[in-house]
Amino acid sequence: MIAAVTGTVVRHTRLAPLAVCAALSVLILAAPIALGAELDFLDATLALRLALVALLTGAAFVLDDPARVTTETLPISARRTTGIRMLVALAPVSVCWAVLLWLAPYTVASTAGYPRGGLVIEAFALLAWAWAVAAPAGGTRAGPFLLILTVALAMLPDRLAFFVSPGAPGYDASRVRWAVLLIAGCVLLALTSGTSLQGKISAKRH
Amino acid sequence: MSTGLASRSSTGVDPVRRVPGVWAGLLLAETRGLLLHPATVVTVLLALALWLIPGVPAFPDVTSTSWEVQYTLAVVAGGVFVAANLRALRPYRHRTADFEGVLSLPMGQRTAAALLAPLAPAALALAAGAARIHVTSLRRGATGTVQIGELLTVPAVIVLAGILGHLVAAASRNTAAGLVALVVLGIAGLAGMASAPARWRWFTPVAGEDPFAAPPLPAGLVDRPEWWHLAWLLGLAALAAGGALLLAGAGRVVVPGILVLGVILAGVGGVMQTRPASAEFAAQLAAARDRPSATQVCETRGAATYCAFPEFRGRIGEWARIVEAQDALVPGPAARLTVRQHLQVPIGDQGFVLPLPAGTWAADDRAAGTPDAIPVSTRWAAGGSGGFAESEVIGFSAQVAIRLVTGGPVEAEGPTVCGGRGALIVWLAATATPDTRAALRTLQSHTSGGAGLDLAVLNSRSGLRTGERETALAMALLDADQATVRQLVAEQWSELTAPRTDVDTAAEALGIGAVSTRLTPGGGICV
Repeated sequence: MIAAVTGTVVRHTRLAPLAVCAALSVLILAAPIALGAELDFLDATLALRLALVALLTGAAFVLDDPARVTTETLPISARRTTGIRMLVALAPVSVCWAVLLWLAPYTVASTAGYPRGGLVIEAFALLAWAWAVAAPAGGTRAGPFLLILTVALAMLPDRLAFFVSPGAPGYDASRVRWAVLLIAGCVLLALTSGTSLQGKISAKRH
Repeated sequence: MSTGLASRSSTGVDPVRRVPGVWAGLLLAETRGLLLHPATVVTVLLALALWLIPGVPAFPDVTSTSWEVQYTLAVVAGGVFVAANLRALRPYRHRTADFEGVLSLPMGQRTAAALLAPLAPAALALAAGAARIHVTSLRRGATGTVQIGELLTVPAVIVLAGILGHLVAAASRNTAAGLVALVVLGIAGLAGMASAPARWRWFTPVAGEDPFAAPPLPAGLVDRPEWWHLAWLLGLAALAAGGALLLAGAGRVVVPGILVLGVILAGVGGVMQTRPASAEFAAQLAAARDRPSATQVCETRGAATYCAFPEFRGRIGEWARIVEAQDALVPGPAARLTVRQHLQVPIGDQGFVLPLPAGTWAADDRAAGTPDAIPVSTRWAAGGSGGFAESEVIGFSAQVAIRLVTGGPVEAEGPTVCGGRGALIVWLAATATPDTRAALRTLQSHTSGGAGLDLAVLNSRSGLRTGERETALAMALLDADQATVRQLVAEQWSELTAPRTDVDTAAEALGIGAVSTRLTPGGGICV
């Protein structure tokens, strides 16, 4: 029974927005490569991060479940169905992020190395927060939240900056901040993944 | 949505006869809903935080601020897009679309009310942008003039965003489609902000400028077709509104009119905004770069003369403070210096910094009767503000110090000054005012490598270059008791300004112990 429900959850996970956004994210890096626009290091890193945000915007919708209020009688919990959806989406998100990281050096004019190992964490920290909001409130709220969170992080002053270019002063310290953000996002996700605010929110519609 | 409902039984009046009142009520409800939507509120608060937390730096350029407010308020446009999109999707998100038949207003009128709702956040953003520019104009050393066309771009972008949000919802009921569209628009917007001076950037909502390449300019020399861009944005808004009304089945007379208006505005604005600057404008800009004396005003303060573009006349006091402070430290009568403001040197091909056109500028100075003028930038900053404009403050002060110490003309590249003279110039330049001292500290905090000091000005290769040991001696002098140092400098001026005086001799003469710095292997300007 549980296996059958799991299969149903997997089949009905909302992957179309993720697929569209993944294609868009690859296009963001592929376009300058195809056009031969050799970006400087800062612009290349900006393009990579824009591609990441585009990818994660699609990922914000994978936890959507229009029938959530009717699934309380299922033999598996809401936390588990959310977990299944996250597992289903985590693989394509990770693969696409890996593709983006692989493409990034081809956008740069310089032949020097592109140290991008430290950037890996950024995708998963933002994803944890997007899903922490998406689990109870859906992608309709998680998507805008992700965009606003990204803008807010991008605007922080230098001593608190998150989006620091690899190799720039303060890059190592920014990785620590990303790690804290990731852990906090995971804790929040663990707390919210079994809850549903849909009913409460729908009572006060905007 | 409830405002659109009318019941005959409650009032006894046919709802159709009360349509104007009902529509006005719906417009009010749509406006209030959009204005108070969390996406709008959060992005407005975010934009205000972006302005209020760092504050407004001193010596701002109001002309540049007129378009820089667009960058921050573009965030609000994103919020309004999301809010308009989600509000338009309410009947589908909440599964009430089937009941729309009972509403008293037809779909077209309801859509018209929703399309006008973005005017409220647009007005709010316009007020915020105007307030920001006003506060900027009140700051110490503010120059430039308000560009109304740039300011009006702010509400135009927000209205366009709101209408596009609604249009996307009308075209697709998928909530993800709106966000994907917003991401695409956001990327296009960022590309437009970061692609100066490419002409195509004017097709994006906000055409940015490169703050490194574009210095503050007299308003008449700014190449920004902001009024044509405004027409382009309004044309796009009209086309999007016409499209949304068309999808809603609105009136057959009004919609074609809106679409025609949109085509005309977008067509004319789109073409005109991307036309290159006229030959006359290019000649005017070239004249301001090479022969600025013809358009400048001059003031004499003490023994020195200062010439500036009229809009920047207020900066003369700042330059005079530095000149007079240094002159007071030099024995003998006051030097008869001339200071002339110049536009910064454009960046060369592939981003290389070019030499200063010293010969061209010297010819203009001679023709104007002010030979050997010391150049000063249109950029300026308070010391310690952390901005890159501080390099112009300490760089100008160093140019004055070079003239006082060596008497040499302004050079296209360098000069490199070593020995006691190098240290003396750095000390003179930095000790002149609290701003120059803080500017040197800022410059050093931004410099790594330790090969010496490069105080280049005007985005060129012109400016003092000196070695690591010279810099170390200057910093030791700045840390010492200034009254004592000033007295020793005045007493031993001839010895210190002699080319043969090395760093150790100068340090001994000024009562500083041995200057020992670890020299960069194989490097060092004065090694």
